[in-house]
Amino acid sequence: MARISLRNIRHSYVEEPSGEEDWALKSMSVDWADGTACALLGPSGCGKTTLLNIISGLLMPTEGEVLFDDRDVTSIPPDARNIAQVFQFPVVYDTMSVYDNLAFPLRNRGVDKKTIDRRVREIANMLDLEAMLFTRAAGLTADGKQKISLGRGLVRADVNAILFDEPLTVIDPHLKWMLRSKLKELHQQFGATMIYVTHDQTEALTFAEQVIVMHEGAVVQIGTPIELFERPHHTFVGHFIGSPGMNLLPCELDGEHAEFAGHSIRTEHPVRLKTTPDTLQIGVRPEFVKFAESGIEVDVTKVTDIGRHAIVETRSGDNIIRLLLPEGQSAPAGRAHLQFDPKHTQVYADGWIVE
Amino acid sequence: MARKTTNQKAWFLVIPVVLLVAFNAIIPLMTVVNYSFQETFGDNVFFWEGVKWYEQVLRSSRFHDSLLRQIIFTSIILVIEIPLGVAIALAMPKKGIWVSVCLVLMALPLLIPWNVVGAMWNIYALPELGLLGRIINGMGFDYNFTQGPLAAWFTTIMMDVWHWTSLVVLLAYAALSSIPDAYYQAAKIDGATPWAVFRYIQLPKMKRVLTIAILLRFMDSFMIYTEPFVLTGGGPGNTTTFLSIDLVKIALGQFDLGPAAAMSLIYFLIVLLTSWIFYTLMMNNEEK
Amino acid sequence: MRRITWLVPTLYIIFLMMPIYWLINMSFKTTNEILGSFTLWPKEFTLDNYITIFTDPTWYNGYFNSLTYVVMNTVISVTVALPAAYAFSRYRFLGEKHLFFWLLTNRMAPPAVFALPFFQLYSAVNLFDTPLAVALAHTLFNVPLAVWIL
Repeated sequence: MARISLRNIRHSYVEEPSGEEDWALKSMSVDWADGTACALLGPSGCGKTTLLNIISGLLMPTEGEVLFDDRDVTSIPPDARNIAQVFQFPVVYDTMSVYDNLAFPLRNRGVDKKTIDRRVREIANMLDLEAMLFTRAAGLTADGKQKISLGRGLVRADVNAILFDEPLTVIDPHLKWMLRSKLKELHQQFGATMIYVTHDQTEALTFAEQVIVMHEGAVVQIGTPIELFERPHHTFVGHFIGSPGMNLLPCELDGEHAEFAGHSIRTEHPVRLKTTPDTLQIGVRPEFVKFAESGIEVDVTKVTDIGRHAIVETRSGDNIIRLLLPEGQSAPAGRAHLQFDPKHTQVYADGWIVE
Repeated sequence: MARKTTNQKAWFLVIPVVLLVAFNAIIPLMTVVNYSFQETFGDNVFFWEGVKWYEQVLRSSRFHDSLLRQIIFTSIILVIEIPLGVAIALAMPKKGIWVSVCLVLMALPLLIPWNVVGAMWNIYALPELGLLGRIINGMGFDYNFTQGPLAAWFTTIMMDVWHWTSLVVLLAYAALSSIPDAYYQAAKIDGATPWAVFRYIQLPKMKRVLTIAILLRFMDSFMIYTEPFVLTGGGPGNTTTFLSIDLVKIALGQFDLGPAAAMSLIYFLIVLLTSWIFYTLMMNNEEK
Repeated sequence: MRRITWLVPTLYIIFLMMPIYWLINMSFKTTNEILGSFTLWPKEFTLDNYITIFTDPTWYNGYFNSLTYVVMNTVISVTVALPAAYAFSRYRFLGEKHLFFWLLTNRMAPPAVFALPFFQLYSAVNLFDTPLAVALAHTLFNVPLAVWIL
């Protein structure tokens, strides 16, 4: 196990990158403390997998260094970095039995037979593969094959880190939930550093204690799930995380106060700008919007019941404002007034939070 | 792969092939079977001879010799072409413009008609006029494929390797390029040696096409006629007289219809039986 | 390591190209040069050999026949093999595997085996000595392969 650091990493798949758009990963420095469970969250094509492959060594970054415990491993191949990686689609060695598949990474490293047998049985037990240990891997379902891939990632006890690249994509929802809690359990039990790539916020927020949100090849925010929820540093994070996402409303500035639809909006901090931005927005999550006697005037247009909450869609001019209504309360019909919780209302200049 | 559905009407689609092949195969085959049990002195007068011709052929040392030569030849070319083809496919670049350039150049020999291949190698290997002949003689070997049996064998085998290795390369390459990158990446992470990558990832993927390649090369080389006939005419002496050359010598050269027919059928049965055993073994293995 | 991997296909392609090069080289040489001296490229470049081929009917008739035969062979093979290949790839039917292997066996039959009976069969149906006969005879070997590959 090790602390993993990236120093000024940049990567491009183009031979001679010229413009900004040629960089699949824009310059970034990130640190993972030993034993963290971290999720890399972002839409597809944002560079998550590229970043993961740079950590594992499958990809050599165009610029920058990868450090494991302060040792520079940038030019060291994956097998010498002592990491495990699980891929999005199942990779099994078709001609081998399930047992041999699980034993393969250990055998390649010359682990003794007894240890191999013990580890393989432990992992098989954990993933419910015991019954099929001696059948050929080729005949299994996609679920089964992905379990083997996971198992091969977990079988080595001494790895520096285990990297997961959307490992549960092909697995059905029920099993997905089970495997995710298994992984979490495993993390708590052994404290291995785990980096988990996903585009699914629920997966990221339930699995990880630290989430890195990526967008167009850049890191937009690193934080705990609560930080990401309560104080998104970028409108992208606000919009991408949460369902429904953050309300983003164009606003004007009146001194140090944001103004929307003729109302002065109280925010967490007074707004002090150094330069004049192109866009200025108020961001507030639906969870922190309430109906009130006075405030922003809106028309209630739609109410959707989603179980414990109802999502209410309201309209103020051209802008849609959504809010969450706790169970038992009912939305007023027609005209209503809204108030934002000042502690959780932020102002974003050109997408970035104003502090 | 698309799931197959059971549909007996599919027979209608197969009927044209069956009829054509039946016209072309069954009628001639019956004729051959007919000849093989009879004696004729021309004028369509036949006498029943039973299995006499079969006994004669199976006992003749001439048949034994050409069969042995045939088996040795086929074994040698299989041992050379299959591993060589696989090795070249493995060494091919995976993407880029060079891939298509390589593939087109490699497919070239496959497009050349058999008799042209024979003639081309004849010109190429002639000890005085040919490039290959010059080079080998220049290296200090006494090389003349029209006189030395060893040189004749060497040339015939080189010719076959030249003509057909590309088939193996193309088939193996197609199989290799269907392997997703994730397999190689996973193998790297798992610390697999290059040999393990070959043994557990590449070879299993190539198994099906290699079965086809081996079967095709076995059948074709076992029936090889035109190329060695044009190149060496079966000589010097009888040293490169393979089964089919011998057969034509008997059938057309000496017009011994009975023995030729009997030999044809024995020959056919050998190819059929070997291919069937191989095919069944491979297919059963795959279904497991 | 990188260097060695591209060397293998390169050497192989050189091996493949040499006889073809030699054939082309020879085709542009005069008879005197071919027999008289050993040269890596034609000293006296000549098109005589090609002129002969395209002006002498005994030569070009051969090519014309070959071409007719190739076209016919392809047409017959494809029209007959296409539906069958479709059937084999899409449907499962009674005797499917046996039939497939049976078709394959036709490719296993040594051409020499069929030389004589073809001679007689085609004489009987007045097809002998026509390109159609040759094409038909060859479909025997090509149809199974076409079915297999398609």
